[in-house]
Amino acid sequence: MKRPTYFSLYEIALLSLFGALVFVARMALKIPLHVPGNSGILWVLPIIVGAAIVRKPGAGTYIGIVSGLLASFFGLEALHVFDILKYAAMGITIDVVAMAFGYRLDNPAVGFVAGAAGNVVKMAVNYAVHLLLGVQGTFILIGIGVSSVTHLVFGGIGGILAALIIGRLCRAGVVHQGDVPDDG
Amino acid sequence: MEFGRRVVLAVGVFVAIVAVSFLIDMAVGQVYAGAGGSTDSLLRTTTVVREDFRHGPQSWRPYATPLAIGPGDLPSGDWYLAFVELGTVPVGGNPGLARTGVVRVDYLFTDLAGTASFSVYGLRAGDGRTWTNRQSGYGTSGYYVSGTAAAGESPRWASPLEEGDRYVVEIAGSSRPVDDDVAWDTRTFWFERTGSGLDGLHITTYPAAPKGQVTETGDLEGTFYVTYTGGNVVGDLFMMVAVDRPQPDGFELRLESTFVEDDE
Repeated sequence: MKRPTYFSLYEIALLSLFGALVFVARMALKIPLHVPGNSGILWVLPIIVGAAIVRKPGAGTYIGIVSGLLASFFGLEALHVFDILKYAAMGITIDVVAMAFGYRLDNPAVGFVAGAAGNVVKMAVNYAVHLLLGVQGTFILIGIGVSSVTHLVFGGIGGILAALIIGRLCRAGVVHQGDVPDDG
Repeated sequence: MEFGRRVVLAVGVFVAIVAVSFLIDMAVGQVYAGAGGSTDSLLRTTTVVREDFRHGPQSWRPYATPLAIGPGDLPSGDWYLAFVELGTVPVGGNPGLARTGVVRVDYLFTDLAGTASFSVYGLRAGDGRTWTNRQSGYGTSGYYVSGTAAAGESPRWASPLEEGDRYVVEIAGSSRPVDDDVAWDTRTFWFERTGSGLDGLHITTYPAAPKGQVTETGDLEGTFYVTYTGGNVVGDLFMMVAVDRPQPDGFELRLESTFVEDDE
């Protein structure tokens, strides 16, 4: 007898591809702004779109873990194996926001909240890991105020873009909104 | 809860997060920089003695390809190398987004024989990827001090480093073992590829000229600055002190390093 699984094969394939897309976007696309959190624009997009398509708790977390594993294995960033933590944290946060807003991620306001929250939590985990590894607190924490604002803004912009993409996918019939829960 | 209220609540949470972040920022700034903007809490004093020259004799210093130690492009001479952790790091990047600054280094030599060469090594935060000051071409910087003391005996404890892109160096200074059987603290410097990692860190005598310059002096006491013009975070900073002949018993180098904010 076939055991039921939480994610279907199609969903797992889709989420894994989105996880890979996060990794590829991080590796291939660089925005030379030198402003903290600017990569959030690209980073949150696949996670939010993936969570919106699959519409199950854990979808964002799955994408985060897949992209974190890829980033760790390929040594994309300075933290290596600890990269999983920040990628997963972003996915978990987007999952939580998506659930709180009934998966209405096609709404730009919800997209902004999901993207901004994900990027800010990623920043917090990043600082925490750096402190844990003994990188001097002075230079990590100084600037965290402005950094939190820029993470919010860039993550929010990414979230709005994701919402617009999801809206287009809905209109094209790729994503079905029929089972969107009522807000209450 | 109504959809609109949830959005307003989320925005409220964001405002709270930003407020807490700024409070942390201010608190940390006060703790580390003090009320008067002084960074005395980051001051570190290290004394280097002849036993701290753990590497050499060799004509080159660590990088993806061997770099000269003395003034000029080509490795030459027999140098002995000591590595000292400075305890603080220069901060580059956008001054509107971070508290940028340089590391001020005050040195005082006693009984220096021959020439001492200062070079700087910085490890990128989180991994061992290492930067150093450029030795030749545009953007070269360095600091050389000449002394007149008589040379001492060759240090029997020193051994040359092996060429490569990864170096395990023994760190001089505070935790100097008193017993030969006790291992010295070591750090690994890793250079990603030739041509990379040479344009971030600089040695300068004027912080207003952050790209640095080559200085040769006979002053046994002086000051220079380590600057960082890259966009990453320097996790640890090391000063390499190299001497071109064995030092006498009375040799001593006192290094004081501290963080100096750009706008001070």
